[in-house]
Amino acid sequence: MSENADEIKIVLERIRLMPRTIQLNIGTFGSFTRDKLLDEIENKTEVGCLVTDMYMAYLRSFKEDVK
Amino acid sequence: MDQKKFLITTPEHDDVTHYCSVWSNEIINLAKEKGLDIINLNKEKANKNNFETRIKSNKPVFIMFNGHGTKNEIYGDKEEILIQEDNNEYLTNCAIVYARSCFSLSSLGKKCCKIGGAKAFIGYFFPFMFVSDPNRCATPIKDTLAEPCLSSSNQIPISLLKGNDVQDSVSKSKNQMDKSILKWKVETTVEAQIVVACLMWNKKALGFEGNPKIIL
Repeated sequence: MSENADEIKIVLERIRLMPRTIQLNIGTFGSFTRDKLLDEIENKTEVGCLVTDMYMAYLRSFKEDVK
Repeated sequence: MDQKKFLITTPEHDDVTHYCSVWSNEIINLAKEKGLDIINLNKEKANKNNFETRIKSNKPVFIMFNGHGTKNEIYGDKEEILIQEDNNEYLTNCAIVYARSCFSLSSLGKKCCKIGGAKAFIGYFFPFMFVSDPNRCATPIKDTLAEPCLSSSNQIPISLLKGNDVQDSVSKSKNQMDKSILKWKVETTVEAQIVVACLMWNKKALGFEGNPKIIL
């Protein structure tokens, strides 16, 4: 799972734009609001790394779309 | 001829299980229409004792888990272990299993097929993710943010109940995810981006073990 500092920075900036009114549900790990997600990503927890991986895969998909 | 039995677990002790349970109603309704005998282990009924007893006495052809899990086990109500690797995977003998549970395909799914005798096991290698609007927690079925992930994951049992095989049912679910990805990708909101990210993640995580051509 990702602990790349640049990737973490990118994902943190993206998640900061997430409305406080929605939550991300990550199966066994539970439900996370924006502020909880920011904590998890900053602290590089298992959830934080999963979300970073998920978001980076989404961003990379645009590169694939262009190809 | 005996009616085919369909056992489904629908614990509801937190937001994730509550959403999965409510979204399972369309699966249960279709199974009824198709003439299956439904055994719904709802809320506190989703416990190990009930699960083992009902499986042994009914021998369901289709088992669907909604609930949390790890790569070695799947939980019911309040994280009570229902099925565990190297313990009771034999309960899946001769059944098609669909587990809407995190990591279930990493190890448990393989053991259910290779040791337990399950015909096929459909599940997720990674956590199943979806976005939701907490203002909709009383009516999860109306939550448009949750719909793309939960509806596409429902497509698997729906397709199986309509007579498609395991491989086709997984493909149909992934095709629905692709359609939703295309639809949501043109939206510019951050919530739409997260919905698309979840769909892509779930698509990658979804897979199966066992016989691809088996039908209910």
